[in-house]
Amino acid sequence: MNALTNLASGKWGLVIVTREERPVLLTLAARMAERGPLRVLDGGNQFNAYPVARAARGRRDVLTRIQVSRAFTCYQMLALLESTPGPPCPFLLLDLLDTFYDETVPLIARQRLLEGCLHHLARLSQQASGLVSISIPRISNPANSSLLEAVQNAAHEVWYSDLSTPEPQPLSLF
Amino acid sequence: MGRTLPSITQVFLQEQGSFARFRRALRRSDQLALDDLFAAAHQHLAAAAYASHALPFEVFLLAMLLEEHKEVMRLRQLVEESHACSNT
Amino acid sequence: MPARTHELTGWLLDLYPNQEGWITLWLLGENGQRYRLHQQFPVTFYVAGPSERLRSVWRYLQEQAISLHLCRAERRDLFSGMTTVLAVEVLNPGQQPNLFTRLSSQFPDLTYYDADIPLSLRHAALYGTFPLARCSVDVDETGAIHRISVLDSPWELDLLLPPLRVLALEPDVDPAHAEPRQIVVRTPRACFALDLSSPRILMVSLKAMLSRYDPDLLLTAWGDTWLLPRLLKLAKENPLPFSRDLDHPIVPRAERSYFAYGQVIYRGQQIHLFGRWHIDIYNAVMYHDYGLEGIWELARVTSLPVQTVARVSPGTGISAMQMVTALRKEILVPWHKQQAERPKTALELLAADQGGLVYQPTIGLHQNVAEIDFISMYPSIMAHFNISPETVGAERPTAELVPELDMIVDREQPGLVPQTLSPLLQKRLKIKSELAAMSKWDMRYKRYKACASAHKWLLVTCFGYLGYKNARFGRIEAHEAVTAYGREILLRAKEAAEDLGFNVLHMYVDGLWVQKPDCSQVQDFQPLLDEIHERSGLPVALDGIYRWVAFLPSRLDQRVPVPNRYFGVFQDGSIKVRGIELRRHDSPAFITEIQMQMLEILAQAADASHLPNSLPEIYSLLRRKLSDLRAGRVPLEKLLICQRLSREMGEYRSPSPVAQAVQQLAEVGKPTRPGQSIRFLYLRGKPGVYAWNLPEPPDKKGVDTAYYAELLLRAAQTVLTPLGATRKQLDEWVLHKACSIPLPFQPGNQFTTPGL
Repeated sequence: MNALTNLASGKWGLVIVTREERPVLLTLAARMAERGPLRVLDGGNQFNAYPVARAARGRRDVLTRIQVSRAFTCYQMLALLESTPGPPCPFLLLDLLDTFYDETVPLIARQRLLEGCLHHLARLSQQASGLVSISIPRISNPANSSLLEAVQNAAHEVWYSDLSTPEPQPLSLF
Repeated sequence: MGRTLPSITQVFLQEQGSFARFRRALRRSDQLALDDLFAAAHQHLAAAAYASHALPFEVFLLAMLLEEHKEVMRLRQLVEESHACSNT
Repeated sequence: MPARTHELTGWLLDLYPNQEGWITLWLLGENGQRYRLHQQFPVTFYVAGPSERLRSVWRYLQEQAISLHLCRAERRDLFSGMTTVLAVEVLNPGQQPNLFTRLSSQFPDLTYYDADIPLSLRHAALYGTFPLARCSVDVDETGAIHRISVLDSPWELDLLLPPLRVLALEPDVDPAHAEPRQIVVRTPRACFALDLSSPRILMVSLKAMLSRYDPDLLLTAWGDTWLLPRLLKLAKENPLPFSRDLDHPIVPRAERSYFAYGQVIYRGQQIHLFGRWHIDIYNAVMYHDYGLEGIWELARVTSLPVQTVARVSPGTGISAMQMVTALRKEILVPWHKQQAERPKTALELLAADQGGLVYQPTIGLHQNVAEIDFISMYPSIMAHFNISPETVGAERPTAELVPELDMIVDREQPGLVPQTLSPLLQKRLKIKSELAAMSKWDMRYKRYKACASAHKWLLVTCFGYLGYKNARFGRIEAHEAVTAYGREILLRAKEAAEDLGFNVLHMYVDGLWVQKPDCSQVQDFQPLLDEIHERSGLPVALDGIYRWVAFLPSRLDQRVPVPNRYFGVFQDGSIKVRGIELRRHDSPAFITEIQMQMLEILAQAADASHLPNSLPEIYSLLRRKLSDLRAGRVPLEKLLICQRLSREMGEYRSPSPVAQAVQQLAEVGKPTRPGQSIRFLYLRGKPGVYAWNLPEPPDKKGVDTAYYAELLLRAAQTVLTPLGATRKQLDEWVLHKACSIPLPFQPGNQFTTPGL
């Protein structure tokens, strides 16, 4: 957990978790907000403020430092990243790909939108550190692996949780 | 479609559930009394939701206290009435 | 030299692109003749993006072998204001969709507007037309329209509808259950059956029928999913004039399951005709609620074609209305562009992400209770407080702070959503007040009722659509502003009630139940209605005064109240029920009918103190029905449980009853699509379930009567608990036929359920 909160700026890290482990990221958000302002971009409708509040022990000053915006479609995800102004403020992007698993949007369009998102992630991380999470979908679809690969390649560092680690096992930090 | 937070009922059940171990270790009669407290807090879910408190359990505790006080007031009135009767 | 024209007046039936590059319009003339006319109708869409990209688009479009007119223009985007766009006018409307598809795959990075709008909506925006609109047109000898004007409005309460010719077709039996052998043909004057075993005679007779009678509407049972596909197949050998417009081929639209509104929705295959309408009563959404008159109203109000509106979900209707309003106001309708949410702090999210206020009711039986409801609360809030995606969060001088939220709303510039909703809301209010004063025998009653249902159906979804992720003009902040206002207004209503000395028994999002000693007539509650209207600014109505109403506890814990779970009898004798077995979609008819009968017996009591007198009759009813069940006298159809298949069916770990039923049907070659409903019976022993529509009928003696008896007793317990009867007592009196029935009940104004 500490390694995650100590990311150097100019880089953004990728955390891959299972769906059940996602609440850990909410605790992480509270920890990051204890140190200073935090921008949360929620692409998976995950930001349940209650566990965050509990982790922050109800401290209002911590909770008001967290600025959260949600995206419910992949189009909104790109619009969200486009409209997020430059730093300097660390950011936490929850579930980047959740909205990209929507099969009613053609794969080509999703790939193009994702490219745009990755471009903005690079822009945002230029002056502040950032962390992006991806959760492993319940039903894995081979088409989605191209999206996952694109994100993994763009990230500066990739961490896997114990349960999400693919074989063979790289270093795990959880 | 946009609802990110769980409903107040879900939050209430989660909070109640977090005391499951405590409840288990209590004597049976004490368990029933504890259940009464939670049932009391359940009466005020709408107000708890509207309060939008960061730590909802604090509001549930206040609701339990509220119901306790109502009971005290009711009993106090009964006692006073019974005194008044026996004095006449 | 201008062409010679003559004037025609009639009702618009249909319009669609034709093979000549124009559009075909069908007019039902005042003289009774059906006219096929045509009109030139170029359509325009817009492209936005960086200048060099637009120049490439220009070059690409000029190379296409399509008649186009290109120019630069300035148009208003709802959120970003005036934008420079490339306007692409396509002279042949039929070519626009394909052109757009090609263009957008060639230039996927650009922003497109007005690109995928249904033709009838474009026509509505330009000429004010809508299905069944009364119009006057100037036409020349070739049938070309030179001028069109609309003579009536969808907002009129009363209208003059043309006499439509309806031909009904249905198979003699449900095709899902058994193979039909005949097709029954019905007109207002004739009714006969045709054998499917002689297809040639069948087709010749149908052809004669269609040609001679020339119906405007083909009303079928299972027409989309079975009947018309079967007839289309037979028509390969024996052609049939299904459509009036034989130049237009019929292309069935495939069935599909999709995820929306938090659940899987199934849409069956659809067959649309040209120049004539086809409505399948089993594929027409809400048909059983408001019939054909409701469908006409929906089409008139949304401007969507009749065949489309009969089959779509209400969200599409609202979306269509918004698009027409936007087009009329020259606001660009985005294809995919979406707004991002403005950031909120975690604390602000806690306050914003709430729904309506839902209070725990006071459990028990109460007398002389008034139910007060805000009429279409959320849409009224949108219209009254000007809540629209573009007015929320706007920094303008006339903006107002929304209570609880740190949010600004511009009250000055009318928003797109309020402008769309206002006429509909006004009509709804007018119809409601007319209905309240109207006798059931009034000629207009049925139609007004149908309109009221149609409006309610549309309005109920417009709130959800405001924040819906795929809505073109959706915005989560607008959705949140509406719920914030809703909570504030309900609290003001509560305060008004308490200030005037009323006791508030229950509150639920947009309604409250109040009581006060010596208040039992309408005029006793009028001051409260006025006060609530004064404090909220919104229309509010007295739904009724209950002689008595019972708020029910949870089945698991009698102390715990359950919101929106009650039954009661109004002063006029009508019964209102929420949340109990008979309102649940999956309850068998056997249970819902008996529960209703019990309530009807209770409804006959003059007031709450006379309720105990109904108990003997209820117990004997239950005993009779139980004995019917055990003796096998209950028709199997009444024991069917009906459930919908959700998408995750294939992922069930242990097979649920629904899953087993699906399996049984799949094994006999009847696959079930996600979103479809399955009906099944509970049987004793294994497998425990019998899917309805299996070829082999079930063993009547195998029905799990113990299970259904339990369901019945639970349903009875729901109704009798407020009267003080316990489950134990119920078992004694019903199952064991106890002779004396003690009355556990103390009449009074209010009492609580005895503790268990």
